[in-house]
Amino acid sequence: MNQSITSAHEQLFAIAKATRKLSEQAHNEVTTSVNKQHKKPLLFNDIVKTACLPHLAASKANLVRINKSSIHMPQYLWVLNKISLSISDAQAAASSVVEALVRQTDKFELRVRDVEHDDSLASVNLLLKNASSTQTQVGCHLHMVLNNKCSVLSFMTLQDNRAELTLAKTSQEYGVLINDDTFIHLS
Amino acid sequence: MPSIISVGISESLLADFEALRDTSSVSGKKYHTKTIDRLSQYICCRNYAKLSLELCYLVWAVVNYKRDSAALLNFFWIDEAITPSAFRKAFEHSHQAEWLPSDSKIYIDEMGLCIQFKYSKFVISATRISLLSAFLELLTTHIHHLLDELEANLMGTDEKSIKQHANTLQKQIYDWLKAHLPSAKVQQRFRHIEQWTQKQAPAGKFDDHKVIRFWQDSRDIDGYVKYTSALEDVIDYELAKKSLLQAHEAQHALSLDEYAQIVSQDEISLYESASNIFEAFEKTPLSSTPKFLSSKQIGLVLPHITVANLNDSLPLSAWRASVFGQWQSQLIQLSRSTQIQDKTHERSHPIESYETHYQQLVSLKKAIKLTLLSCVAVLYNKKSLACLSVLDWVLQDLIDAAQLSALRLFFQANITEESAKGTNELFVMLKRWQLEKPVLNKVFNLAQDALRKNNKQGFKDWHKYDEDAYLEGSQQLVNLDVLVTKAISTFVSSVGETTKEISILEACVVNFSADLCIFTEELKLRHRGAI
Repeated sequence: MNQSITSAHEQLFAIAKATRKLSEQAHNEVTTSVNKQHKKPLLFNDIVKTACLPHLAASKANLVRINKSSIHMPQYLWVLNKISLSISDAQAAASSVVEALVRQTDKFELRVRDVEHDDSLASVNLLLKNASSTQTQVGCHLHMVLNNKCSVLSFMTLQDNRAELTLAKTSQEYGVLINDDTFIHLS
Repeated sequence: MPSIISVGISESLLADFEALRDTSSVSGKKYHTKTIDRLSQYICCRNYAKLSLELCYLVWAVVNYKRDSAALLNFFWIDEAITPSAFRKAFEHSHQAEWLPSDSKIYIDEMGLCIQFKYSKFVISATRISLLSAFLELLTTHIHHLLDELEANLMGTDEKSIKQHANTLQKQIYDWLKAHLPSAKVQQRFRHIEQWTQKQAPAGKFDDHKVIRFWQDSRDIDGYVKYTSALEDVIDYELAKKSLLQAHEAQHALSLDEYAQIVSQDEISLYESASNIFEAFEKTPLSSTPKFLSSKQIGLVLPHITVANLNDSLPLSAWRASVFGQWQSQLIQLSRSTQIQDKTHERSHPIESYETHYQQLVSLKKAIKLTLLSCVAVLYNKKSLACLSVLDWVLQDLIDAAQLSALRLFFQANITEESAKGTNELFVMLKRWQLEKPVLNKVFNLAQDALRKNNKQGFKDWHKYDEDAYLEGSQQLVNLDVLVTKAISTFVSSVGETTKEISILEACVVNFSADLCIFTEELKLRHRGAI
């Protein structure tokens, strides 16, 4: 009986099916690849770890997912606000100067300068005020939030409460760092 | 074999439990697999009331112990005080806590964390901390702003607030789980069926006889007054069990040989074929526009479609639902009516019999064929070559076997996949073939006749609708035709192991008189006075 049903079905609509099959196949392939990408759900624990240990590879991958999710981003910002030692809010618009080259809070001072002899690079200098010994040992992170997207600069080595990074001026991080509207959280 | 309670759990909830099992902490896995197994059991069985209350007491202790703005984040995620020893350590100086509301104190003893109020005491065992932490992890992931809510509602409050917030939390969990678990009612019914089947000997799948017995045994159970309700639930239960088994086997990746011992491959493909018929049927209702069949005709075949999901295992049940199910509905309606007139005849005997039902099915098959013929004409008028495919299904009723096989051979020789791509050219050829072959011309004329006589919506004004609507409708009509044929043949074969061939009318008489006794007895018990 099953065979007769199958053969009848195959016989019937053979021409119509052939043309439809291709588009269905293409749709299924796209759906499967999207499903595979986001198969494992992000738990709150993943969000906390992403905020606390942003330098880890898993955290970087999670941050990409968080930046794309309107559900996870508020949770991430909530955690960030709780763990931050200090926050530098968006800067007041400074006439025609759109690039914030100096940021100061009670806990840190951040300066962005051009690198001598190379106009394509910028040097980012961080000074921690009243840094704890733990911070000096494990490093610190600047979480930059702009337009509900977050990126992180990690300073893993500190000497005399100072740390330095060099960024390409074409990099996304540099663009976010010098933007007036960027919120910077220190953790 | 997994429990029936696992049926209907969303993929996303299952993935959450899997993610919880994999969650890591500084020292390795954050939660023990057994802890998450227990949590999933609590959640899937909707047994989270006690857990919610316990969690609210724990949260109250955490937020009131140090009054830190990030108390919950620190305790559960940053410091991870979620092992019995870490939990005890976190509260080791709790007797010195300064911020606790008046008339309350917290302290650690050999049992765990004791929360003492003026008139009562609540103890959270240290061994429960991991489970409570995983519970909070799951809730925080899905109920947004939960941590803020908990902190705001429990900081500086009394025991009454803890209980109130535990109730609120349960409501939030209930709302969230609506999208992830079958309703509590469905879970209850599945459990009832499972308990009933466990008491049966021999165990195994439902057959027609077992469905009747289940209905009789469930006389006093809510929701099983009607035979049709019992049948529908049994079908849902069997399908649920089947899909559960398939999911289970897929998950554990058994080899095909091992898998074959549990479910034969034939059974799988039959099951898939039946579900596809049902699924396709639901997607494009045949009684909408274009109207292929009337609602009455659809109603006639609905029990058969439902039972088709279980293939041949319940050949009689659909007939019983159609004939005796209808009778029972009439009895219920009569018993509810405020002005009961004397309709003794209507009450004591079903209006339909298996013979009349069979005749209705035969008429339906004729109607299906006529509608298919109308579809052939519509598709032909729309210059679609699919008209040939639909035509093939009805040809056997229009021309004799020799003509049919000659025509099929002719098409096979002249239409290849390659030539079918040039639709316009082939359609010109088709018109020429009509002139060459009178048989072909005859069947297309019959199709145009059928279309002219078809007054249903969408057939007089066929040019208003898309070709695909007729093509999909035709496909479903063919499925229905197969299904009705199968319903009749399995009905005949259900009359028992007889050596001689039995006609359909004999089968109707034999089955009807046997079933009339069973249903009359049962309906008398269920609807006293109405019968």
